[in-house]
Amino acid sequence: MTIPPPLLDSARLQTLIQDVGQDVLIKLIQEFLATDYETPLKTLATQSPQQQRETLHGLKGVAANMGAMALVDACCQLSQRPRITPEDQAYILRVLGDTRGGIRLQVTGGCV
Amino acid sequence: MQSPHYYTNARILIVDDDRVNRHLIRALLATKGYRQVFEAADGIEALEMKKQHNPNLILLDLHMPHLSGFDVCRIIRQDHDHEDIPILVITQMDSTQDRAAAFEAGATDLITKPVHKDELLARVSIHLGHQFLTQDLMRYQKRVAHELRRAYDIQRSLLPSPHKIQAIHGRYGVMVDGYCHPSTELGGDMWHVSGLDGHRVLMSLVDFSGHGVHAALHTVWLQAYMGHNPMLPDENPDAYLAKINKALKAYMPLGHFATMIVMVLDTQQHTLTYASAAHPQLIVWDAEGHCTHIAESQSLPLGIVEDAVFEAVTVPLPDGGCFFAYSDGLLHPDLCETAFTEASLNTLAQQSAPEFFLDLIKAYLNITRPNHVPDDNTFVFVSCRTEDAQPQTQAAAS
Repeated sequence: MTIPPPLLDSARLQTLIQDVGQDVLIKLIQEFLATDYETPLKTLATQSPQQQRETLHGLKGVAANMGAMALVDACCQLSQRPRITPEDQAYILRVLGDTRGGIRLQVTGGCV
Repeated sequence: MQSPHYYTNARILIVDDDRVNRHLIRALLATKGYRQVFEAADGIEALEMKKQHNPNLILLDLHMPHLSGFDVCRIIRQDHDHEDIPILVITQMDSTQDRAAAFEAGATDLITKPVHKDELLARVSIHLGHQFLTQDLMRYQKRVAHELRRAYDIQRSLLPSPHKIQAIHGRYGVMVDGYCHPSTELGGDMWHVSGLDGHRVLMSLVDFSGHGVHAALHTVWLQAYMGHNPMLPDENPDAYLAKINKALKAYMPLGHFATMIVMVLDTQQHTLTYASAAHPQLIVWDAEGHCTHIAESQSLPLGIVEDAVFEAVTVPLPDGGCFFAYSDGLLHPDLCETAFTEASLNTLAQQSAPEFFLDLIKAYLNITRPNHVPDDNTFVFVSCRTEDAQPQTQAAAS
């Protein structure tokens, strides 16, 4: 049985706070929590396989930068599939939602 | 190396289709004081921004809409003005194929996602350092090349001009064919011709040790010395060489020396008098084209011993006769696989008409010249036909 990764990489988030400061990180997180990522994810199932891979690749990169481990893992898993199904789509949207919640609690104390 | 403060004035272009990634990298760069940071959201915008801001370094995401990072890399590397700009590709840790393809497209280095501050700043600093150092070196190289070109022109202007050679021919009936080609931008060889009096022509050929700037400066010094201390009409070549040797010994740094031959062609007596300071052979032909004399290298080079003694030798040079003096660059074994030796030149001189000999030497030098030549090459070929003389043309010949 595979152990799922933690939702967030706490060490990464702590490092980011040290690197850029709390204020800047909160702004970055606000951008990350904005709806920019929802639209392409919602249309994942309608995209061509090439577009699907690009969408997942892009999300994986920003998720890695923001320490969103579960989201990185979900993107990796779905990248292996020949085609994204509506169930896959729903799964990744759920992980994105969880990530938002986790970040809100861990970094901004729920302020964002 | 430039100071870190100098680097923070660098212009950096971040290219990533993800706004959060761009802003994160900008924030990380800001911690080190980088202020001139520009952003592009795709490859097409990146090329526009590059044109507009002329960045010193580009941080490039690979997967973007419209024009990928790979394509941006390739296009920049084809642009002559920006082909050296450092491109740091930001890629994901697991994309081994991307990494290889990025280098193939022209990426300078890689940074992996998630981006770590220390690694990002270290790589940016290293590549900016290289970039500025390269630019400084290129500016230096350009300036030195320009200065060497000007110095080369000045050195060439010290050689006898076609006008002067024509005047010598007009006044004395002496035809001089001189060749001087430095192995680098500047050389340590020089030759000279001038009228000594109403019927004698003075010629000299000098080869300073080494080549390049220091050797070229020695030739300029010697030219100035000979201008202020010309050979006197009652002076013999050996005495003149001794005088030059004394002056060179006092002037030249230890370890520097020169070989030189001074030749006086007397168009009345039909003789050639020469003195050599360890200079290579002098080859003489009579009017029928027979090689009549080959002078071996003799005495010490100039600048070694203050009181060195030189010997003057006089040989007949009838009307129609000719002679050939050269610097040892012609004999350099690295010049080509079939380089001349003194012995092979002797054989060639003894078995060939002088005109054929000269044509062969010229053809040989034309073949070797486009390559890197290991030493300066100089020769003087002189033929005497006094019936050509028009003694009224005096001024330019002296």
